[in-house]
Amino acid sequence: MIKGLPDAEALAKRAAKSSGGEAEVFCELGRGISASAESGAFSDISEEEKSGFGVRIVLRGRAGFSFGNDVSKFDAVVAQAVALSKFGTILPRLPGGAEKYARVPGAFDKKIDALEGRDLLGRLKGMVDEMRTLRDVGVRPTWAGIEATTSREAVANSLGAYMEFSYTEIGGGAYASCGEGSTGFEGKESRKNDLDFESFGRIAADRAVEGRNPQKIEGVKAARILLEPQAVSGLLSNTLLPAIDGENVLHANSRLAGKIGRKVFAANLDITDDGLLKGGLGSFPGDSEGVPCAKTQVVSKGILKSFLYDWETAMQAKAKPTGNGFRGFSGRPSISPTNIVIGRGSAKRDDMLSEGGLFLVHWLSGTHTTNPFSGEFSVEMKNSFLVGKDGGKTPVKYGLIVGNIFDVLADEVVVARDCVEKAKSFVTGPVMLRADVVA
Amino acid sequence: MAPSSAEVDYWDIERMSGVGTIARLKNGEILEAKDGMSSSFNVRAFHRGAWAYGSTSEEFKVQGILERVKKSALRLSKLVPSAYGLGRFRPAAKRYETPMRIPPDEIPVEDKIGRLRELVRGAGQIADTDISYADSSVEVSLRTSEGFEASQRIARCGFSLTCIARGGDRIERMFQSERKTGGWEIMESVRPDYALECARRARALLSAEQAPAGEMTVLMDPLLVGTFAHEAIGHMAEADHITNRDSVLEGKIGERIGSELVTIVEDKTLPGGYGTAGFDRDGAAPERTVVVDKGVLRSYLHSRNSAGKMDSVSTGNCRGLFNNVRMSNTLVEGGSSTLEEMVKETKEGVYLIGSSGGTAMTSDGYFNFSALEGFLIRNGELGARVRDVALLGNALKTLLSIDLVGKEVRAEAGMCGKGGEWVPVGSGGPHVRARAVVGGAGK
Repeated sequence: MIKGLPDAEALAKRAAKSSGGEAEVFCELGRGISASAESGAFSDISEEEKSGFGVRIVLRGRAGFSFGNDVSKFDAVVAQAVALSKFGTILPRLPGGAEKYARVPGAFDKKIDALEGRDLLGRLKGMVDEMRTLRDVGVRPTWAGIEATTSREAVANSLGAYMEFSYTEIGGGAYASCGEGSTGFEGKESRKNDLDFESFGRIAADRAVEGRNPQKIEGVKAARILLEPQAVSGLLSNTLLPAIDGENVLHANSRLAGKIGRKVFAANLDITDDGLLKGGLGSFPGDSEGVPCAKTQVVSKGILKSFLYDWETAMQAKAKPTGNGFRGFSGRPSISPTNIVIGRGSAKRDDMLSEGGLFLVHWLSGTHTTNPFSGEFSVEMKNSFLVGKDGGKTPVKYGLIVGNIFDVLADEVVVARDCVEKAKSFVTGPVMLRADVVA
Repeated sequence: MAPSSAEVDYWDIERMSGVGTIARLKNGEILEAKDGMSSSFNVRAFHRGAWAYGSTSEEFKVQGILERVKKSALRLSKLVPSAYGLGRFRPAAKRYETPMRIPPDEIPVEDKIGRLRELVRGAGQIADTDISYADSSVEVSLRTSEGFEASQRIARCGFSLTCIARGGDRIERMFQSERKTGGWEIMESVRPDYALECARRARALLSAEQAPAGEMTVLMDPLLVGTFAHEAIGHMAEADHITNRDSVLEGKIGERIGSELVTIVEDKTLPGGYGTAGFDRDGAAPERTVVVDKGVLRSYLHSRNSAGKMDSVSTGNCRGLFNNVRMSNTLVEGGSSTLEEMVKETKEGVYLIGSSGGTAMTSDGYFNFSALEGFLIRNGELGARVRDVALLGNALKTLLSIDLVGKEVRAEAGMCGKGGEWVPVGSGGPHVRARAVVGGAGK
């Protein structure tokens, strides 16, 4: 049992006994530290802890949920969950208890867990100092920050399922500005204490310099666009992920519903949800319902193979749960990707760039405004360049990329086989696609 | 709790405890119903320009955390290049409670669910309905090293509704919400055809055209104007962006930044406003701050921290767990035109309705928003309905281009996620006509 967490197994048994139904208890203990610098000066340092538990009771085929963070009030929380089960979702049963979980090595780094706020200051200074090395050409550090977290979780149910898992994460980012209207950003996260924070400052500063004197583009043009991994993640998180979410599929709110086995995207596109990916930011032995995590092929050679499910949605859809039910203590499980790997890369990034005649986009703004159901998007290019046939790069002042994700991914798509990065839920190289650019 | 001996300029302890109900119904069937209770303790220490924070959900740890954050603030203060003190503020009253007629916790859960089913009944005939209800009651107490003590109970209640229509290979959605500070009376005042209207709008989008693209005249509805006020102007006026030198409004107090038809206020006192409260994280009293007065920038939005840095006075805009400058309710004030007049006076353009969110860069002033639907305007008349239309522009250029402002002001609830921390806000305004780039897929 993880030190500091309540005994989830004992609590699940107690809840089952008092409720007369099946019971599940999810316990969470999180700790985080962070430090940031504004305009190059240290500004704050922070430590946070959160702990709590969620209880799900299945009674007469319906699930009730409640939560709290005071274990002495556990029985009252159970009573709330029992009362709410009358109005809860239909759920015949909880996951069974004979699950085997894979090991996820490298998810917990003692060095991250042992960090204190003051330990972050040296790394922060490194980022800021790197940005300052280009002060002669007008670079100014705008903001830099580092955060390190440790999460400890356990889930148990009265059918005997039990899983516990501890993991760490450290991440940071740097913003630099140069002249009017040019901002450069770089940031990354890792579960190991292996990030080169100084390089974030250096890259942010370089990007700010590259973006100086942006040129206005006008009108509407169909264009080839090379999205760097952060931009791929931003676009697909709000368009592709809702379409492969089993709950949206169940309710026919996905344009991919009913298309398993059919070719939906370009033949060179593979999309996998890999919950066991080595070093992945979303790798877990099991999800927070105790269903083992797995490698789920979502799209293979453009053909739709599977959707992602939590336990409850899988039961309703009569589908196989894929180990994608995640939550914090105060929320019921819902479908969430683990590591979405975009594959079948065939070209090198620099080769694509050297062909020229395309827009290069580091990140996108306004991706949350896309339409998750129709797949239509209109997102703003940031840190973007028009790359000429001669390979020369002209910074772009502003512009929107406009299209429909289902049409765009069914058209010509090239995934780079190099420069692969972990960007939020995605593991991907740069991706080239065709869409309209409006300015 | 015994006071600490460590010497810092300032410390405080905020205690929050909340209860609430969440329910979500899909086509009238319950997808989620949950109650919960949780509490947290948020501790801050400040010393000569350095802040340290700590939080926990366990009360017995608070004193230890307070000691640690004091030491962290003292240590960090030695690394801060230029020291400053906290700014002046107007202390809030000792007690505030959200005015409400019917506390939601007096309504049984089955009655709450019954009301939601009643609301979506008719709409379900023509579209899928997905309605999410939430009520919450959060008790907050604040105690500071300066001897300030106050408490407040903030209650919020309401719902958001998404209607989804399908036709052929098309799926369209429409979104409406009714959320305020207050009690169950908010749910009782919803008009009977509310959901039906949402469903009809979703169905109508199935035959809508793609929006045009390029720079043109846009007529924005009150909810989109609210997004503009919040995202494009409000964030740029937040004083932490000014002290951080990443706002295009730096150094522009007293300057004309917009059309003289435009006045923008930040109103922490707005009755029912989703961001309305009795005091902010610093304990400052709520106020109505005029940010832009007839096109002239009059004020930034301040916490005590930013006010201290800029030798100014807090406007009561410190929100969230720790120390962010955040908005509450941000509104463009009404003008003199009716919607009919505004359409009639527009030769060619697009009328944009509703908001599915947006974002703006404070450092370069560019924003992009998405409207839920729109109508083409030709020769002073509304034409074809258009869908999925985005708006891109430079905030100051757009603000200067405003040439018509409507009479009737409406506001809507939303959530602002600045710095990764979500706080409830309100935003709104009247209809406004301006110039901007429209990003539709139609040529």
